[in-house]
Amino acid sequence: MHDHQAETLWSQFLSLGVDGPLTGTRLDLVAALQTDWGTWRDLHPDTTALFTGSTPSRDNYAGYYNRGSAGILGEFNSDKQLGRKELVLGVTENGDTKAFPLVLLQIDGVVNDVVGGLSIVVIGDPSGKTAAAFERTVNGRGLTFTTKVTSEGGQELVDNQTGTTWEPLTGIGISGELAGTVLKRLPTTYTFWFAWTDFYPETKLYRS
Amino acid sequence: MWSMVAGLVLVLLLALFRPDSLNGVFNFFRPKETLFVTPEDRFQQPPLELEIVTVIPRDGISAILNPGQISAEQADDWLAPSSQVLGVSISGEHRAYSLALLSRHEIANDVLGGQPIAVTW
Repeated sequence: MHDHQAETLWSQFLSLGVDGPLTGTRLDLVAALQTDWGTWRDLHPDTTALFTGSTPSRDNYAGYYNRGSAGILGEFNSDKQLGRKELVLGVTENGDTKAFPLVLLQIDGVVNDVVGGLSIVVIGDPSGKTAAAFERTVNGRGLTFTTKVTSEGGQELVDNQTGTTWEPLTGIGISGELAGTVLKRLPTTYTFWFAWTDFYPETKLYRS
Repeated sequence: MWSMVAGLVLVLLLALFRPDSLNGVFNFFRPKETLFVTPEDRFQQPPLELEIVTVIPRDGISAILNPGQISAEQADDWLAPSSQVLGVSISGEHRAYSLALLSRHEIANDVLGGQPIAVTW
């Protein structure tokens, strides 16, 4: 990325200025959720959508996502622990990095973990297509989470300390002691394994 | 030398084809053996070894600079339930960024919940 004001080149992956006057400067990462429109709209009925006047329906990279190849420049730190195009949710906290494979999150549902000293919970959607990460310390109290299948076949999140039920993809407390509390969503990178290890070769990898 | 030649070939290729017609990913940086040095002690992590590779010239892919927004009902006419989006929530405001749109521009400069953000793809 290149900015028009300071004429600095920035690395998207590292959120860091890498060439020009602001070299070494960090950009704050904003937490986001990669999912499909139907899911996002259900979670946030009052959402808006970015609009430019053009309404493309097809992603030009659809073919690339589904191919096994790494792209024009290829990969530079081939790490065979996972297939190069396997999707991971990457977490970076306090200089520590960890990748959570989407397929494992789909199976395990919820992972209570610590990354860079921060207690986090990573939640995999049953679809296997999306995942979310939150801090799991609320008002100074450490929580651990498990998932529960609802009568409608959906997924709910329950913490072991208060029994509160939470919405998995938004971290909103739905019922119980902490109803109305919102877990803090963590910035994550939804990416291919080869790209994550190119930029974070020392990354940890979640295994069931 | 060969990387310069390869870079030149890629730039020429991109001059011939619209970037968005290529099914590929453009990495601008790649790890290298040499040390990446910063001018000051602003680095918060061990220095990463980087080589900057320019594949597409500056503004070769046009970023979204002054976007508008539409309501969910209006977006339903464009986006299918299965359309991939990046969803962002700031200060109680929620906005979906279509990946079909973002992949054509790679960056959207926007303001959400009063906060200027760059949504990058």
